[in-house]
Amino acid sequence: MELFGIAKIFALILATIAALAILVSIDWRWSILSLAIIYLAEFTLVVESWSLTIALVKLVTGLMVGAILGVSLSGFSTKTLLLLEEPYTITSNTNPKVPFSFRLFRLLLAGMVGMVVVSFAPGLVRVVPGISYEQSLGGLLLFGLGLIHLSVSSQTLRVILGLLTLLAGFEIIYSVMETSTLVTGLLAVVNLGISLTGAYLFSINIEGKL
Amino acid sequence: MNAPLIWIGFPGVIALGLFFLVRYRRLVICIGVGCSLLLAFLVLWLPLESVIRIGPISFVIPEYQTIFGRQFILDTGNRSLVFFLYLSAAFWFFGSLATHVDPRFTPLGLGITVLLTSALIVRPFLYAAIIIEIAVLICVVLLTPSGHSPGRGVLRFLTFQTLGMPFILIIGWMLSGIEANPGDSELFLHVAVTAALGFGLLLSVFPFHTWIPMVAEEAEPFNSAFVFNFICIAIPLFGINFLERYNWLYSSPWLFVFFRLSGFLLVITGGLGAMFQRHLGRLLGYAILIEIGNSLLAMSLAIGVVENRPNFGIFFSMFLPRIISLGAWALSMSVIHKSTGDLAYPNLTGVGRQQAAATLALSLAILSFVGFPLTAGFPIRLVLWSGLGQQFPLAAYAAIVGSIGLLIGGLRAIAVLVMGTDGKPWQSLASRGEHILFSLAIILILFIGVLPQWFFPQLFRMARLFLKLEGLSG
Repeated sequence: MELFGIAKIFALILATIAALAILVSIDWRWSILSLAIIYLAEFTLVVESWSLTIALVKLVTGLMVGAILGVSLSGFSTKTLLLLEEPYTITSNTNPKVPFSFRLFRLLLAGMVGMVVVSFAPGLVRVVPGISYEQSLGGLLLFGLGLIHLSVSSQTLRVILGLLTLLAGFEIIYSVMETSTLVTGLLAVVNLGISLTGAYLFSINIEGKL
Repeated sequence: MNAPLIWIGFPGVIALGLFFLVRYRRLVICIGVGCSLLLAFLVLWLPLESVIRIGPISFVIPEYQTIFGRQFILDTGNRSLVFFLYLSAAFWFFGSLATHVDPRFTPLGLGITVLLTSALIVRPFLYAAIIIEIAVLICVVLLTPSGHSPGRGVLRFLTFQTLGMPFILIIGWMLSGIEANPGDSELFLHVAVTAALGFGLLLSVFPFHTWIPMVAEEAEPFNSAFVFNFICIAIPLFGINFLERYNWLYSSPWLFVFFRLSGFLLVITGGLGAMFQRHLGRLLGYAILIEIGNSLLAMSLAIGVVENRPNFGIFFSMFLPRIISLGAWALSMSVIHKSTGDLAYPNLTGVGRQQAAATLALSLAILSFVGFPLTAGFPIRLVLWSGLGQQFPLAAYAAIVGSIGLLIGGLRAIAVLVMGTDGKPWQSLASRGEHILFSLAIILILFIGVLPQWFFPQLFRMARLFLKLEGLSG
C-alpha cells in the first residue's frame, strides 16, 4: 500500500478516536486536544482533493480554533467549568467524576452512528464522483458524531465542540464537490467565527455566574 | 470605486469603527442612522454603469466587484431591496435611541445589514448560505449582551442555523447534477429531502421552530425583534433566489408540499402557542412563527405556472407592516421590561396603567400582526387569505385560525396589563423620546391600514423588479 493510503487510514482512525474522546470526555483540555487532532485528520483527508496550500488553510484554521477556545478556557479547572453548567449538579465537595453509564450511553450511541455510517459510506462513494472511501467514511463519521454530541449536550462548550466536529466532517465531503478558494476562505471564517462566538458565550457565562 | 464597495465595504468599515466609539452611545446611533439613510437613498438615486458628471470630473460606478472569481452584483432588481434593508436598519437604530439596549446594537446591527446585502448580491448565490451563517454568529452576540448568561434558546438558534448551511451547500452540487441528468428521479428525491431539511432548519419550520419562543423569552426584546426581522427577510429571500436560479423547480409538486405543509404547521403551532401563552416575550415568539408561516403560504401562491409569479408581491408586501408592528411591539416590551424587570404575566398585572402609551402601541402592534381591520397588517392579510381561499381553502382556514389564536393571546396580554382597581390613575411613565416613537408607530400602523394604496403597490413593484417580471401582470 502506498504511503498516502496508509496516512489516510491513519487519519481516519485518529479522527474516530478524537471524535469519541470529545463525546465522552468532560475535561476541556482533552476535548480541545482532540479537536486539534480532528483538524489534522481533516487536513490529511482533504489534501487528496485539494492542493497542499489550500488544504493547509484547514489545518491552520483548526489550530487557531483550538487556540481561541483554549485561551478562553485557560485558568479554569474542569471542576469550576462543570459547576457553571446546569446539567451537572456536582457540589463543590464532589470531584468532577461522571458516572460510567454516562460514557457507556454515549459510546453506545457512537456505535450506532458508526453502523449507520459504515452502511452509508459506500453509497456516497457511488453518488459523489471522485470521493474516496476513506473521505466518505471520515466525513460521515465526524458529521454523525458531531450530530450525536449536539443532541445529548446543552452546555455552551459542548455545543460549540459538536458544531465544529460536524462542520469538519462536512468539509471533508464538500472538499470533493467544491474547490473554490472563496468557499475555503468563507468556511474558515465560519469555523473561526463559531470558536470566537463560543469563547464570547463562555466568557459572559462565567461573568454572569461568578 | 464600485457599487459593492459603496454598499458593503463602506458600511462594513463604519460598523467596525463604531465598536471603538460604543461609549458614546448617542453618537454611535446617530452615525448608524445617518449612514443607513445615506446608503438607502444613494441606492435609489445614484446611477450605476453610466457616466456621472460633477463639474469637470466625470466617472462611472460599476455595479459589480469580483473577489476570488466570484461576483458581487448590485443590479436593478436588487436595488430596491437594498434600499429597504438600509431603510429598515435606520428604523431599528433610530428606535434604539429610546431603549436601553446594549451599546453594541448599532455596530452589530449594521454588520448584519452589510452581510445581508452581501448575501443578496453574491453570485453564485449559494455562497449566501455561508454569509448568512456568519450573520447568524453576529446575531448570537447580539442576543447575549455582556453580563447575561447565554440561554438555551440562543444555543439552539446557533445549532439549527449552522446545521442548515451544509445541507444548502450540498443542494447546489446536487442540482448541478440534475441539470446534467434531468431524468434522474432518485437524485431529485434526494434534492427534495435535502432542500426541505436545509431550508426547514434555516426558516425555523416545524419542528425546528422551538428556538424562537425561547429566544423571545430570554433575550432583550429589542435585540430579539431585530434578529426575528432578519430571519423573516433574509432566509425567504435566499429561498426565492434559489428558486430563480433553478426555476424548473417552480413546477415541482414537492415545492407545493413543502410551502403549504410547513406554512400550515407553523400558523397552527403559532396560533395555539399564542393562545395559551403567559409570557409577553414568548407571545412575540409565537407571533413570529405565525408570520413565517404566513410568508411560506404567501410564497406558495407564487409557485407553479409563470403567471403566478407576481404573487410574490404578497410576500414582499408583508415586509412593511411587519417591520413597523415588530418595532412597536419590541419598543413597548422594552419599556415594560425596564419598569418590571420581567415579562411573565403574573408580574405585569396593572402595569399598563402606568405605561399607557406603551400598552396602546403594544395593543396596536398585536392587532396588526393579527390582521385586524384598519391596522397595517390587515390589507395584506386579506389578500393572502382570499388568495389561499381560492387555491387551497384548508391553508386559508389555518391562517385565520393562527390569527384568531394570536388575537386571543393578545387580548389576554392586554387584559393582564390593564387589570387594576378603578381608583388607580392612568399615566404614562415613558420618556419623551419613547412617547415620540410610540406616537410615530401608532400613526404609521393606522395610516398604512387606512391608506394601503399609498404603500403596497410600491412593494409589489419591488417584487417585480427583484424577479424581473416587468412584463407580467399580477
